Order: sequence, then structure tokens, then C-alpha cells
Amino acid sequence: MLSYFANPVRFQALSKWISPILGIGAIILIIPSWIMALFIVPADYQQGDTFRIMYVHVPAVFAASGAYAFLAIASFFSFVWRHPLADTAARVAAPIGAAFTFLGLFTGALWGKPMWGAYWVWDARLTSTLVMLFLFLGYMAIRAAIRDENSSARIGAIAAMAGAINLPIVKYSVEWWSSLHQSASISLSGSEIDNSMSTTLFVGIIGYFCLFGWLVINNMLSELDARKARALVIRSSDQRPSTASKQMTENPDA
Amino acid sequence: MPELLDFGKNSIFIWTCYGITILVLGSLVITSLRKKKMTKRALTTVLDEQNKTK
Amino acid sequence: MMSQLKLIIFRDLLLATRSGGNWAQGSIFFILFIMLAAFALGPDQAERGFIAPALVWLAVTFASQLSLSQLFSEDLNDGSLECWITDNRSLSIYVIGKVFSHWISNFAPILLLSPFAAVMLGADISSAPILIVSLLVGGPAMVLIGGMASALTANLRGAGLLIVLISGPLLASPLIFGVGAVQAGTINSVAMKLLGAISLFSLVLGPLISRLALKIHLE
Repeated sequence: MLSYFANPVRFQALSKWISPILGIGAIILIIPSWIMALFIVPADYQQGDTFRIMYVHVPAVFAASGAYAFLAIASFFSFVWRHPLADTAARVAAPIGAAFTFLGLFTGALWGKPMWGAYWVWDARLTSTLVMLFLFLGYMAIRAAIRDENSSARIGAIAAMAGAINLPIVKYSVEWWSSLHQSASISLSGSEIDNSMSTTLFVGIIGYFCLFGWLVINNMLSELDARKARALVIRSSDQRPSTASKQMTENPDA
Repeated sequence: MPELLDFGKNSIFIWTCYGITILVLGSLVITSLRKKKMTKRALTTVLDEQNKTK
Repeated sequence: MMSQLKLIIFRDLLLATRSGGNWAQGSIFFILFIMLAAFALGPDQAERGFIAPALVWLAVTFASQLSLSQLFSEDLNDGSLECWITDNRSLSIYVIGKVFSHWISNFAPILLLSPFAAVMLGADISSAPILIVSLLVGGPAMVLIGGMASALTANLRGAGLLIVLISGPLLASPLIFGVGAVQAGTINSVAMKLLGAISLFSLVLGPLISRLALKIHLE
């Protein structure tokens, strides 16, 4: 089934349907969730209004993790079956994932200040998110550094998969480390979560995933167009010298 | 600041968070749309040129 | 199989002795790092002594990645890697041999310097054995992860910083457990066992990834 959609033409036809659905989904899910989060959801009895940061922080972190999983899976398909489309998906997903990761870290830090009294605590979740940001950046750096398209795709895919294998280990080590060094931090599960709170959060998370999907699909479409244009230019420039040489052989005196 | 937008002493944190989120997500959307438009235009000019030469 | 391993190790060690001291760069960086760290921390000996093992581990982690940029690229560029393949020899053995000889020529000197560095920073001399053991246990992980990054970037010129960028996030685990093992103070600690587990895991994953990457560069 996947190879059915691996055809760029089919992908373009399919994305005509999916892209608007995801785009509209992102808008009608994210914006109401923010309005709910800012104005309607009651303040948390422990954290007060600071709690409202959660509705931009948690979806960003979720979408960032989803983006890394997507990068790893797309890399796997690109590596094993050598599908250029899977590679395109992986390559466009990386900067988007990095942006989501950055948002997760930034909002996490700003949430930490009123909550823990420090912008940055080396707690397990923040730290492993930081590691994930570096994995995204490393992937982008290696893709940018290798000029040859084929080898860039294959090496990048290996790097992404190696990162995905190591990410749980890093996460576990950081958890072990922070449990050793730090007194127990406030856990979210400890506070009573109002029903409207969890609904709002859930809607926001789905909305972020829609946005991620929309961004990936549209960047893939531009990538496909750019590649097609490049291929056409190369082909036409190939043809011109060949016709010239043909004339040369036909008419050596000219 | 109207009362609705005031979240007490921590409102600066909340507004910065939402602000940076809108900024980053918005620029992601805008750059994707612009890139899509530009590549589409580049592709059509290449196609037009080739049709002309034929 | 053993003969192939021996071949590659002896060849690389011979090359290291004739490389005009390239193998010492990591060690010199290590000592420099320790010296600058001491300056940054100020003259209070007791304060420095407390974090000495952490600093030594940090310095070793960076120093171990430094000299890796040429681990595979030389052989890839001058064609010896291709000869190795066309002779129907195992690429996994090649990677393991390369990394092992790198460990002997570049990492072992750092390892020997590390207790002196720790003592210079104000650590108690009695902590030296546990530091050496932790570096012995964790060293393979560091060199294998670095080797993996080096293999991925083997066809690039001047990939030094890119290697650190790729291997850096993955080096978090050995660093965490390494420092934890030294601070635990006994050889039998949980951190030491986990450090060993990471080294063993890298021994599986490192050559596998490096092999795949080198194969792509040879295509």
C-alpha cells in the first residue's frame, strides 16, 4: 500500500485532498484551543494562570517527538526501499521538527520560571528534548554538508535511524541522572486536571499534528516541483550540446 | 491592559509563550506557502520556455 | 578473521607511530582543557576537587572525539578501503580493528593522563583507580560512537566539528553514567554496570552503522 503512494504523481493528487483537510483542521483546532486555554479554562489551583502555558508547551513537545518519529520512519523507508519521496519527507520534516522542539524548549523554560523559580532546570523531560533538538540539527547539518544527493539521502537516513535508536537510551540516562541530582519536581499528574483542561489540551495536540502534516506535505510539494524544474533544465542543457555535436559530425566543415 | 488579558504577575510569561509560538508557527506557514508559490512559478517558466523552444 | 583483525590493527598502529605525533593531539587537548577549566574555576582547591571527576570525564569525552575526523576518510580517499573490500575481507572486522587501534594510539594516552589531571584539579588520589576503571569501561562507547560519526562523514573534508555535532548528543549517556560511576566510589555500582551496558550496546551498534555508512561512500 505504501509503495502505491510512493509515486510522486499519486502523492500530488492525494495531497490535493489531504493538504486542505489538514490545514483547515489545524486552524479550527489550534485557535479555539488557545482561546479556551487563555480565557475559558479555569486557573489551576496550584499554579494559577501559569498553567495556561501548558497549552502551547505540551502540544509543541508532542509534535516535536512525533516529528522525530516521522523522520526516523521516513528515513527507514528511504533507506530500505530507496524511495526518493520518503527521503523528501524526511528532509523537509527535520527543520519543522527542530522548530517545534525549539518552541517546546522555549515555552518550557518560560513555564519553569514561575513554577520552579528558574528558567532552566535540568529535568529529564527538558534535557531529553534538548538532546532531540541537537539530533535534528545534526541531521540537518549532515544533509547540508554532503553534496551528492543520493549519498546525502542514505547517510542522513542512517544518522536519523541511529539517533532514533539512541534517543530512548539518552532519555533513560537523563532520567536516571536527574533522579540522582535533583529533588522531586512538581509532576503534572499530581494536580487535579479539570475536564475542560484535558479536552483543550487534547484538541491542541491534534491541531499541532495537523499543522505538522500540512507543513510537511506542502514543503514536499515545493521540493517535488523544484526537483522537476531542475531536472528539466538539466535535460534541456544536455540536449543542446548533443545536437551541436550531431551537427559537427554531419557537417565537419562548418 | 484590559482585565481579560491580565493574568497577574505572570502574564508576561504567558504572553511571551503565546507570542513566540505564534511567531514561529506563523513564519513556518508563511515560508512554506511562499516556497510553494515560488517553486511553482519557477516550474511553469521552465515548462513554458521548453514548449517555446520546441 | 583474527588475522584480518591483526592486520588492520598492526597497520594502523604502525601508521600512528609514523604520523609525526598525530596521536598525541587528543592528549594535549585534554591537558589544555583541564588547565583552562582550572583557571575558569578559580584557585579554591577544595571546590575544584569536588567536581574534578566530572571535569576529567568531560575533557576525555571531547578529547576522544577530536582526532576522529581522519579515522576512515584517509583509507576511503587513498583507496585502501576499496582494496580491503575487493579482497573479500569483512568490513565489520575492518571497523572494529580501526576503532581498536584508534583506542590504543589516541585514547590510551588520555587514559594514562587522566589520574594526574584529576589530582591536579584537587581530587583525592584514592579516587584514581575508580576513575581509570570507569574510563576503561566507558571508553569503548566513546570511541565507537565517535567512530560511527566519523564513518558517516568520511567523504567530507574537514568534518571535525560535524563529527562532534553528530556524536555529541549520543555521548550524553556514557558521560552521565561515567561521572556517576566515579562519584559512587565503588567498582560495583549501578552506574558502572550501566556504563558497561552502553559500551556493549555501542559495540553492536557502532560497527553496524559504520559499516553501512562506509558501504554507501564506496558505492
